[in-house]
Amino acid sequence: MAGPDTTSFPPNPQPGADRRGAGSERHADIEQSFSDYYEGLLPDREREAMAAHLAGCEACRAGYEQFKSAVTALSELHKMTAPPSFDSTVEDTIRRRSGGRFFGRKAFGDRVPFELLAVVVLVIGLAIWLLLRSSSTGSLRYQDEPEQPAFAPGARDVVPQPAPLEQ
Amino acid sequence: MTLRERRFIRKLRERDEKAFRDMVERYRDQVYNTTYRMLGNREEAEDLAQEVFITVFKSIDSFRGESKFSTWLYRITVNHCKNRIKYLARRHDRDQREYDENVTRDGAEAALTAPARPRSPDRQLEGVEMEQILQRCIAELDDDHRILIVLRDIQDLSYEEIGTITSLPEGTVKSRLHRGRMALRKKMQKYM
Repeated sequence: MAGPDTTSFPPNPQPGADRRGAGSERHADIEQSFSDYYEGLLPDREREAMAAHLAGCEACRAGYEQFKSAVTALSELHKMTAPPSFDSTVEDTIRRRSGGRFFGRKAFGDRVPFELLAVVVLVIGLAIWLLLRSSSTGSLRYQDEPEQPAFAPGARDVVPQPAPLEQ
Repeated sequence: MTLRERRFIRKLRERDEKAFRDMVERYRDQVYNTTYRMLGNREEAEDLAQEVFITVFKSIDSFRGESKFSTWLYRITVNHCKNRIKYLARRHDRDQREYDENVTRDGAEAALTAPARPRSPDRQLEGVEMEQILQRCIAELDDDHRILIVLRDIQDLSYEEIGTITSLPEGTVKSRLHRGRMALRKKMQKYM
């Protein structure tokens, strides 16, 4: 019993298959390959089989011709060019939206220099820590001179002691 | 990415005014043609093309250089187009009558002012009609099909580039494009 014909593209239906149904599938398969055929992406053998089918099948040939003319027309569409004022309008829009600050190099570009900020914060922190460490009070408050006692601790009382009572 | 392109990108990142001007001059027609074919309206296309360049300049720092600059630019263009199409659909801003007038006017202008190939008056008329029919058929396509048809058949980009722009696998691009072309063929049959 003969197997399916694998030399044609797409393979011919097996003998005994519903001729009408198989034929419709075949045309559908052919249509599926229109793009690849048009762009020359089919392998040689498949391309030759496709060409042979198109040559012998009026419906597929007409379908392919319509397909080809549609795709070709797309590539032949006139290339639209931007209006002459386009460039200046874009620039004006940018300037207006950015308040004139859009162009021109910035010191750090547009990004925040987080690395630099981190180093500055670290240095300031270290300086504060050193100051606190060197402070005898453990704080940054101004340290007053210690108050002098009103009289020397060893001095005799200024107020005279009362004389002992005589018996 | 070539050394020249790297230098060009660096200048754009530095907000170099001249580099920006060069960039706009170099890519404006590609971007405009894409937005026009996607939207089918001259004013909308111009407005959107401007937004594309403003976006490029704002977000140039996010361009990692993994693809060509033009591919990145197309990606921005396509995203803008998708958003604008949705917006216009929501606003019901694409009034068919207005659209027809625009297509007729723009198509006629475009075909009559085409400098590339001088045509006889008969051929010019044919060109005008064809432009109008095609633009109308493109506008009737699904967004996904329209994008691929514009990128491949009008802008002549490679499948690889289209895959990068749309974030679709190459096989999906091919099969979807084919369905789009078949849909276009069907729509054109109505007018032919």
